[in-house]
Amino acid sequence: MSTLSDRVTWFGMPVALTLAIHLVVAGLLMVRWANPVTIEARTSTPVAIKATLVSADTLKAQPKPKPKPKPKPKPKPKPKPKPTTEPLPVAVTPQQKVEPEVPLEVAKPERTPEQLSQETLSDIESALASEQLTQKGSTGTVSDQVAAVIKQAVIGRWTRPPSARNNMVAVLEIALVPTGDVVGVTVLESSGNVAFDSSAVNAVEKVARFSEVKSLERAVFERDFRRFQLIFRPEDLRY
Amino acid sequence: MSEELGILELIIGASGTVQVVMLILLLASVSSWYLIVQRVMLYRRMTEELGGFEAHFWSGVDLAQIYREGNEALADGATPIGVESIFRAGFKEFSRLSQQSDIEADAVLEGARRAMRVATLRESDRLESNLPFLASVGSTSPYIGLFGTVWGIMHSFRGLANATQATLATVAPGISEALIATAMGLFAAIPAVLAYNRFAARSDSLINHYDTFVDEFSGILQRQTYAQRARRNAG
Repeated sequence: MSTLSDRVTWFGMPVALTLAIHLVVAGLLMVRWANPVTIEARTSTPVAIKATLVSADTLKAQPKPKPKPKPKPKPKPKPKPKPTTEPLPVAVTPQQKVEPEVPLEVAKPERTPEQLSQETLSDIESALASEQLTQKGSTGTVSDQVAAVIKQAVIGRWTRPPSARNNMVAVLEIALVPTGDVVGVTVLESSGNVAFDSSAVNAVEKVARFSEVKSLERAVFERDFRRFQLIFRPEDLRY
Repeated sequence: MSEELGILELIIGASGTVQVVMLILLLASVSSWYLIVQRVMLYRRMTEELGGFEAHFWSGVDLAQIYREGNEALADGATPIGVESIFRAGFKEFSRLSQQSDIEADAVLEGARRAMRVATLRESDRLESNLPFLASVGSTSPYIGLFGTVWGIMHSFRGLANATQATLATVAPGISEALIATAMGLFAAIPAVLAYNRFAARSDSLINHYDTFVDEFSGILQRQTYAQRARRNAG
């Protein structure tokens, strides 16, 4: 045994093995942290349409001194509260707990007939959309279903800031615990508009708890909903 | 601020003290793993050598023959290790002393035993070298890691004191980064402690084998000495 090969065995091997062990451990640690599920909240913005209509109308038609802040909370309720859409609530996902809000009811009668009809139209559209959504959800996986519900819940509580525009996209990251409580909301990618970003964050924070998540299997929850991204993209704003 | 905190970002974003602690722990881990692998190889080689030499020794070959074979290996550049070096030390001393007729038989044996004891000590030194380092890593690196964690948490809570709005998100990254130091300390310590215990046990058992061999070999030498003396007295 020559001294050179001796040195290689007694020095090189341990060094190589040591490095290998540390690199593998480091690699595992790096890899395991990532890939949250993404939920895109874009299709279901009919609510936002209504928000636009109400605020725009009330601005002109109603003698209220403060039309802006008032209508804003209104759009929150889902299509449900509309008087014209009696059968619709059935179609809408039952999770929407924001039942009819009184101010909205009050505001409505004062509208012109054509506005009303227009509203009815958009209501029907939205109802259709949410129906399709629920149908799609029920045929898809449990995860898709819950994702749709989460999407609806967030959009249902979204308050559109005046500066929101159609092409704005904010990517949020939401962290949940198994009970469905939201433990963290952060803006992953800003839309460039701080008001819009914070309105999206507020919407999630207002929901506070996605109770449907609780019924999920533990593994599914860990995989898809422990941390996920929500792409917030209102496309149907008519402004 | 993104919540997508990878370990790498946490480490890079850690405060200076915590980073120094992490560096120390990384070095401790790397060097202890180096030693672990090296020791494993050494003990394996020693055990093989012991088994091989004892089989050869008890196969009935002439002792002088074994010694000569060792000489040849020495000429090739190999250094005798383990039990062979003990044998060589004892046999060399024995043959040197027994050539001188004015030395008592007991003195010859005593000399051979002393030489073998010295060689055994040298071997046990070789087996046990670096084990204290593993013991130190095993016992101190959790504390070093804990220090880093405590420091990091102190740091992030001080940051919290300045913030008007105290949220979990303000302190969570700091605590998370600080806890990495503890994790690293444990990562370094656990293998080191396990390896230390294992190696200590193994070197003890090898040294026991060496001691046994020394006793057995002295027995053989004693028999030989007295046989030699009897022949010389008769002749």
